[in-house]
Amino acid sequence: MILDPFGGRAAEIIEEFGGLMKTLMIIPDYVDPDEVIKRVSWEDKPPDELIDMNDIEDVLGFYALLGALSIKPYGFEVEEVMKRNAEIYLHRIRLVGRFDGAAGIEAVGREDLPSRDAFILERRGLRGVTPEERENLRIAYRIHLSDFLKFWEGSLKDVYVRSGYAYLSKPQALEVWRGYFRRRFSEVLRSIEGLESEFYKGLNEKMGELIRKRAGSTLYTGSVKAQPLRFDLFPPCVRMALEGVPSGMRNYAITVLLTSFLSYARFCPNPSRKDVRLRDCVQSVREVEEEVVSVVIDAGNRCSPPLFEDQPNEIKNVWYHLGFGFTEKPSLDDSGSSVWYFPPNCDKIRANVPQLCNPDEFCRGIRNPLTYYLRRLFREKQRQGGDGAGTGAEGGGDG
Amino acid sequence: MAELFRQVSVRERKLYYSREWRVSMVPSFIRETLNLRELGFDHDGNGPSDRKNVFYDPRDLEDYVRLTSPYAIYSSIALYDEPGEMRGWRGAELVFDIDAKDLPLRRCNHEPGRVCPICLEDAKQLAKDTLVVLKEDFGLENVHVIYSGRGYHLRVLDDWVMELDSKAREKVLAYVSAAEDVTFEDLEGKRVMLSSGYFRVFRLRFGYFIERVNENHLVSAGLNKAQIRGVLNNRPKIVEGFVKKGMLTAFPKGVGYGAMLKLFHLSSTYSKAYFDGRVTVDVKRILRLPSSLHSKVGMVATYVGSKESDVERFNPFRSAVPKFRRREVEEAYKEWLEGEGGDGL
Repeated sequence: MILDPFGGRAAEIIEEFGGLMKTLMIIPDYVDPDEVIKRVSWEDKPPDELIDMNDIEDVLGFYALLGALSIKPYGFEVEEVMKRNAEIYLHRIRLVGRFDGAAGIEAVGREDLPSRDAFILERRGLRGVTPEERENLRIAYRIHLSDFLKFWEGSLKDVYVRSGYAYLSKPQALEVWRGYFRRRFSEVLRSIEGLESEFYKGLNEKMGELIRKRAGSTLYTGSVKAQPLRFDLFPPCVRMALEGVPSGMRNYAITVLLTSFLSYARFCPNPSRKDVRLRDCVQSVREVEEEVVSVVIDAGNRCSPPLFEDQPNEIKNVWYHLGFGFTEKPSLDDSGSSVWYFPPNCDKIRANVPQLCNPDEFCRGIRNPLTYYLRRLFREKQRQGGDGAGTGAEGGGDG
Repeated sequence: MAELFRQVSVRERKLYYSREWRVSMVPSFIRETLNLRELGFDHDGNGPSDRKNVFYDPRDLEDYVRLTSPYAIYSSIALYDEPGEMRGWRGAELVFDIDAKDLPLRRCNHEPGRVCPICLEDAKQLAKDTLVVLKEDFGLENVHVIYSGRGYHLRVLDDWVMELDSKAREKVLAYVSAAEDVTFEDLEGKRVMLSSGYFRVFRLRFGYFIERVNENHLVSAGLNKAQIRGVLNNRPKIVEGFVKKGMLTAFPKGVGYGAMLKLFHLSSTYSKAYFDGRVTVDVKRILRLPSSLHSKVGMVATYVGSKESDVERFNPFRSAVPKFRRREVEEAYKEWLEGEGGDGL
């Protein structure tokens, strides 16, 4: 039973066929498209016939899907095929209870950890923990940090780190494996080029049809319209910037973050193209002055020491970030003289001014402060039963 | 009055590069990969505008530096197939930059943006703690500490680290700087007591924090008067019991989970700022060349070593002073010790 379609036995089979591209060439002669589609069409849990299958059939079926995806290697279909096939292999891993070295995950015993730490991690001293929960807390695997950092989406705080390894419970190891599968899937997909056969085109169409049908109405692409700002729904970093920040953080917090955030949030929450200008979104510069620049200046004045007293030229930089060029008194025609800066992503903010990043419960999964705001706006409107429902606010932001 | 730090003149730069500096003073981890690195020069103090230089032979670099006596010299942390074009990225050192002038929780009273021996001592403490974390938690073996002129650089060259992308570097930075908050669940589940991993790093940073925190900080964190008194009067016990052994009982009576979480949050807020995160996540950055002169402060960027004891022993006012300033710095250091700063060290 193959546990990893990118390593071990699967790699051997592909090698026996003469490598990846040669395997993809011979697949149409061996594989029935209707059988392959079964790897994607299952609901709830993968059927037994997909779990317990012949190794060669398994490998050819999996790579047939990759070949079909290479025709259009992006979009919802890729996600769906990746997710469902990962579940097939994860199901097998759970069944046999081992990883066979996939993703570099290796088994460890209790003796590999200091006993006090194992005691704490497994919550052995706590009552009310069921045997199943305890089993899921038990540190049973480890992976070298060089691999772990590639495959783990979360933070290093979530796992036990020691001497170059991350020590993992079973659920954590499965999550690492998911990250490994996702990464290898994308890498192999990117490496496939020039498959022109009708077999793969047909399989791609069939697969796309099935996935689109299943996704149905849950896929939505819409937009939030420009509207007055709701300061109470701003992310923590923007709220902190609004309150004024100390020297060392001022230029980034005020000129870079606040200026870009307020302007996009107010006038263009869902930019339709990359090179959008403020003049495309407002009637006059006055609107920008009154609703964005005045707020930025107020926040700058609350800084210690006050930003614009300290650096009077910085106001020109604010206009520069709004796309009006380095000027103090712009006209609407100046819009487009420089780039209208999009709000920086959270990782950029953390890297530049880590003190600004104090995530709250709504920050989970957010990569850009604007997405945070739009998501909360969307939820707020849903809660109130207003016209926000179905406006797809979740779509904007991450740039 | 003699000055510890001052800008050097063009004549002094020439003196340093012609009489003192030799290319053999550049650490071997850079010299051996010199042909794969981009070199940048700042000739007038306005920033490194002379970029994308490549030297295939260290002697060529020596000739160029002797000829130009630059204000500052930088080399890329990245290795390239074509360094002159910054093409063919092969990997980059993982760097932690501790700038003494930007450190929060200062023990000295001078205005922000300046550096004194106490700030440098604090930066050294952070560099030493970071070295321990990198070696013990990450199992790294090729780590070098450099005195940068106004702080410390930690440069890691282990093979697997060189390949890390920015996202992975950000995660390492968050770990090393204990930037993530300790939660109620971490306290309740006793994870904060673990002898290795994130919570040990957190306690290490918390130790640095608790030794420097003052009443005003604790007031702003929301602690009441009794709690503040309890914390400030029990610093050694907290360090000994909580920081070193992970015992929550080291906190005085009246400092419960709520107050601890406030303290922990404040500690994380500060510890995030010990490092310049931009340097760590940037995989194409140029960094001051060890052995070169930091002309703004008149000190030499100096290789310290790769062991904790090397960092411990290092004294920038003995080992990082160019010959032409030795007497002046000696005198200024003496004046400083007799005056404002003696108690802080």
